[in-house]
Parts: sequence; C-alpha cells; structure tokens
Amino acid sequence: MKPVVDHTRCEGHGRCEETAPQVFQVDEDDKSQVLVEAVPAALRDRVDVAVRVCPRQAISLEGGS
Amino acid sequence: MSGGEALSLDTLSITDTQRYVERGYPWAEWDLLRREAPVYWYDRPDVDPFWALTTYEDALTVSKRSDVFISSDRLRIFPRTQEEFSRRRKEELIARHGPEKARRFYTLSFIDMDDPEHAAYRNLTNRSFTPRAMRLLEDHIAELAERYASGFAKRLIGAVAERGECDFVHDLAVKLPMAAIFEMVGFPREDWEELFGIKEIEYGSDRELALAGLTPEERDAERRKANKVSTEYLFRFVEGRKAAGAPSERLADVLLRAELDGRRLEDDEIFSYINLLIAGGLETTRNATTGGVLALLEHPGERDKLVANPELLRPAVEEILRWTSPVIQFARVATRDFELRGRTIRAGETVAMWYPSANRDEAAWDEPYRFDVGRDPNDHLAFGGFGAHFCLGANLARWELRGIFKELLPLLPEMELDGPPFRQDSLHVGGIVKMPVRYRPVPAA
Repeated sequence: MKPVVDHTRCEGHGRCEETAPQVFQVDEDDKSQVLVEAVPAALRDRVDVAVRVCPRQAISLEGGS
Repeated sequence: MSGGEALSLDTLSITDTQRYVERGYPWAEWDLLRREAPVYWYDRPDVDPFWALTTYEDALTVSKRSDVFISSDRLRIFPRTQEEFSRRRKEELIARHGPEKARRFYTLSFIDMDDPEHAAYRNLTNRSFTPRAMRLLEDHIAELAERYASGFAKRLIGAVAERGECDFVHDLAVKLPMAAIFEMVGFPREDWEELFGIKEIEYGSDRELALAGLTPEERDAERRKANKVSTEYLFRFVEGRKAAGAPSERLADVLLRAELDGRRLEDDEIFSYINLLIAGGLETTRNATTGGVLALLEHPGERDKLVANPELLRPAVEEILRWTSPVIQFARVATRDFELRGRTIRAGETVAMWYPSANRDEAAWDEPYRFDVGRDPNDHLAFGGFGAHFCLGANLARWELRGIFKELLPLLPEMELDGPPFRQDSLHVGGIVKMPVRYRPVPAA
C-alpha cells in the first residue's frame, strides 16, 4: 500500500506530517510529499488517520496491503 | 453527570446561554445525547430547530461532505432573538441595496462561502498559515510570549504587595493572540497598544463590559465607538499600504496584490478578510490559553508532570485544545436528503456539530474525561472536523499556545485561583471572560 497526495488539493496544513512523520513531509512549497514506497505494517493505522485528518481529502491509498 | 436532577431528552437544553454562564458547558446533556440520540432533532422555543450532532464521527462526516452540507445559509446556532435581529438586518440591507449588493455585506468572508468560491478566497492567504510559515515566525512569537508572560509575572507578584487584583484573561491571555495576528497582518507595532483596547471591546462579549459595571446603553455606545475607531483605522492602514506599494509578505500586502479571477480585491473585501482573520484568532486562542491554565490548576498532578517534563508541551497543548474546545458549534444546511445513523436529514434542514461533545465521545477516546498532558494520539476536533472549512489559523494557534505555555510553566506552581472564573454567555465561542488569579509562593522545602 502506498499513499498518494493530490497536490492540486494539498494546502500544506501539515496534519499528515504531524500524524505520521515517517511517511509524510511537507516541502518548501507547502505540498506534502510521501517519503516511502510502501507503508510499514506498524504505521498502517497512523496512515489511515492521516487520510482522515487531511482537511482537503488530498490523500488516497493505492494498492493492497 | 452533575447534580441530582434527572435529565431527559425532552427537557434538556444545550442552547440556554444562562446555563453556560452559571455552570459552563452542558457536558451531562451532551453525554445523554451521544448515548441516546446522537442525531437529535432539537426543537425548542429559544432557537430555530436543528439536528444536534454530538459524536466525533458525525462531526467528521458532515465537515468532510461540504458538497452536501453548505456554510452559506446558516453557519451558527444562535438564540432566536439574535437570529431575528440578523434576519431583520439582512432584510433591511436587501431593501436598501438590492439582493446582489446586499449579499456582499453578509457573506463577504470566506467562512460564509462554499467551494469553489470559498477555496479561491481562502487560498489567497493559506500559505501564510502553514507549518513552514509558522517556523519563520517562531522566534517572533517566542519573543512576544516572553515579553507578555514576564509582564504578567511582574503584575501577578506585584499584586500581592499592592493588594491589587490580577485577571489572567485581561492581563495575559488576550495579548499574544492579538499581537501575533497584528504582526501577520502588518499593523505597525506602535499602534498595537491602542488597538488592544479597541479590539478587546469590539470582539469581547457583552458580558465582559457588563462585568466592568457598564449599563446596557453604555455597553452599546462603547461597542459602537470601538467599531467606528477600528473601521477608520483599518481604512487608513490599507490606504497607507497601497501608497507604499504593498511590497511585503504581511497579509494586508498579500491581499492587496492578490488576484482573483483576473481581478484585484475590492476594498470592502480586503477589510472583511482582515477582520475575519482577526476575529477568528482572538477569542478562540485566548480561551484555550485561559482554559488551559484553569485545567492545569485543577489537575495539579498533570501540571507537575508538565513542569517537570517540558518536552510534553506539544501533546499538552493538543490536550488543552481537546479539553477546552473553545469553539462550541458550527452549523451547516443540507442541500439534499442525507442519511445519518438511520435518520434522514432533509434538504434545507440545519445540522449543528457540537465540538466539545465530539471531544468527549467515548467511542473516539479512551477515558475522555481524563485530562492527560501526555495523551497521544490526540486527533481532536477543536479546529473542526477536517473538512474544507478546517480552521485556517490552526497552526498559528498551536504555535502561540506552545509559546505562551512554555513561558508560563515556571509560574504555574505558584499561581492559584483568586475566586471563581466568570464564564462566557455565547453559544458559539465559549470560555472564560475573567479569571482572578493570585500569587502563592511555594515554600522552600
């Protein structure tokens, strides 16, 4: 499973980075970047939360577990 | 549950402002609603009816479905008397200016708009509120926090000698939120002191002025005067920025340079925008600060834990936000029928999200009524339900709160309440308008 951030929606609130700093990082253009190719099992829950707390619904998950 | 009286769905009230003043937030009522009727048609003589949503999950659903639940119709629940006043004002404006122009007076701020219009306005400034922008402002906020906290400490300690009174709200909590947003907007520092006085009246509640001993007529006159001075100041300030060519990254200049659909903003749009940014950040952050100090004074174990472990500041601030939930509710209007927990919200009906209740929802939290400065994770809804209208200033508020609580830590063990706090009478932004505190030196061991 890999998270994908839609940069046309992302406003750089930084909730994803706050929730799962190992997976998301907001860059100098205030756009969230995904740091990993696949989400480690231990971080699945936090990534699900990151999807939920994104105010712009900019994060989606691609692929199975 | 507090008190001995039995609550029932048919008789409970979550809209009686007097109750908020006397007993604070209606926790027991919200608990009952969550348990027995989380989607509840609230129909009472004192308000226009609405669906009361009290759970975490439903606040999230409605916030995220801004395609169904819109903001431009009814955005807050107010007592019916106040709603009628607003309706009459709206009708007068329409009669005087015609519907198109009148609309600009009452839905000029993006908070009252829906997407895509809302997003277009909001995105003019949103990059000034991201974590990256806050990091650039961090030293500044720290310097201001240090200055106001040390001024407050002097006053707190001095009040003992002078037998004076110290009000945590007026003497400290109001200051940093004002200073921080003034800095961001670009108001010159030499104007702040004067603006503090004006804004405290303009955005303060009627109750604060009443507590200061003013009659209803005097209160009205004070607010009108503050409003006039404030409008004139903003007008002169914006004219000055225009004359200077609006070159800076301060918000006023950003707005003056902004383009929306290939046009510049009109003056009245800029005034409303700036006023929304100011209004949004004052009462809310101020009440989180005051409520946070109150929570720490009421939970000395948590206070001591935080004082001993300053690295808990970040989670502590999140817990203060969850615990205090300064914004009580926002409403939306359904644009089509929508099913929620088996109930049908009909098109045209209002739903209101009660955030403090969502932040005590047993389904979303372990031990929701425990104040825990180390709580982690803490995905509270103090800034809204993670939808399109999520608080633009959330990061600013976090940075301010971390800044001020860092400075307050050494003082907290030596501070105590000097009488009961006076609570706000609003259904929208709740909290404390006055909190007498006194210095009580800790005896050396």
